[in-house]
Amino acid sequence: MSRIIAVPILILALMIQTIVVSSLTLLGGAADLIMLVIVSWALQDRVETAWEWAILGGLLTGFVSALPIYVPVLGYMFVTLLARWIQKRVWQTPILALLFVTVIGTFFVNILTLVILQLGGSLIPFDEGVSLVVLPSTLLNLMVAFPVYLLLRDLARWIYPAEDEV
Amino acid sequence: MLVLFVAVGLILLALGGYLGPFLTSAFDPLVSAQRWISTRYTTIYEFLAVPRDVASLRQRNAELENEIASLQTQIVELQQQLRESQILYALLDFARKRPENEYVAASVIGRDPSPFLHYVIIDHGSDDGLRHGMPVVTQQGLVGRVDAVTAGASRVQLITDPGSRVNVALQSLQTEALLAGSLTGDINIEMIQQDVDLKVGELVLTSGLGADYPGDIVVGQIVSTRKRETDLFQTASVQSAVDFATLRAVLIITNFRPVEIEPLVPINE
Repeated sequence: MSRIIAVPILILALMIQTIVVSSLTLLGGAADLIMLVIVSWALQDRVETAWEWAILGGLLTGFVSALPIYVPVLGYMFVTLLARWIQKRVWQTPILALLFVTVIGTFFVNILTLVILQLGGSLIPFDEGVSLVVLPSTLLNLMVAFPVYLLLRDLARWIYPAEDEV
Repeated sequence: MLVLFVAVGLILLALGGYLGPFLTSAFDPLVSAQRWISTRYTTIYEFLAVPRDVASLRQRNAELENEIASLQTQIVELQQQLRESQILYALLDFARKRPENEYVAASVIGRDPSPFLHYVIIDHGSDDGLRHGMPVVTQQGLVGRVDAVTAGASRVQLITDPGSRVNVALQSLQTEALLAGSLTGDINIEMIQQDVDLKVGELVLTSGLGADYPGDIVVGQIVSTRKRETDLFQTASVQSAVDFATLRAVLIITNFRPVEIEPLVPINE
């Protein structure tokens, strides 16, 4: 069920990303809705399909974007790894884990993108990339992270209902 | 018989007008009583009927509110259609002025998810004859070129993309230069000789050099120049003719194919 539902959820998130979120920029930065969906999903307790969501989200983003397809796949897999790792350690404070993974994940995905673009011959100055894209994107991701987390938490509770304690 | 006589007599008296005063004085109390009863009846009827009227009025009000909402939706849709029509008419007008080109009109349906890249997604693809490298324009000027196509959609690299390079010419100076995009979406022209007297307001057009774009498409105007004695070339900032923030519809020039210039390798005979 959670594998099947990943397809419409991530496609919907990608459509919202390309139509709305990418247009709402701060300096040069924009929120990454796909990453936030993947992070929020990976931080849920009973979720077992976080890696599938990360790979599918990366493939979908890579298909639409002009970036090499491995960039979002690698970026989202790292974010999932971080989220799963931290979820096992600070599971009682998911909001703290969400904020931590959002900040580190945004930095990693954007820096990876910047480095790959530079290696590909794009003349984007590194400091300009950080100040105009990475930092504003981090701020926007932090603003959007909480509502996305609440939605995904409800979805996870619906898919993985809590077992009754005897 | 007696009754008949009395009746005929009363009729004759009435026709003759002799019963008028009598009838008036006799009917006045009746009319007053009738009016009183009628007024009270109407009041009681209205009192009893009001709740039903309020309910029907509320229902009618809801119907009208629904109708207003529906009409407002229609107005918004019509305004949207009007805006699209205006854009399409402008594009059509542009296409008519350049009959040598063949165009396909397309709507912008999305933007690249990565904030580092300035690409848009349009709703026409290879099924509509679009191919990689085809130039994309609007009635205002150059937008970019087709970067990738699927059957029903394409991705267009805007001239504001940091990886975009366009060969341009300055209209009155007969000088060629290179237009480059940037992370912020600003476009600059580079590689201008130091001895060229750049002026603000100078029109920038595609030069056609490199065979990536057709020549003489408007790109924008120079808004500022940067000239340092220590640099080999001078640069200038360009205000694009196209407003990329509100880009909704574009034209793809389908009869222009960019020439793939392979590295010039000498042939050993």
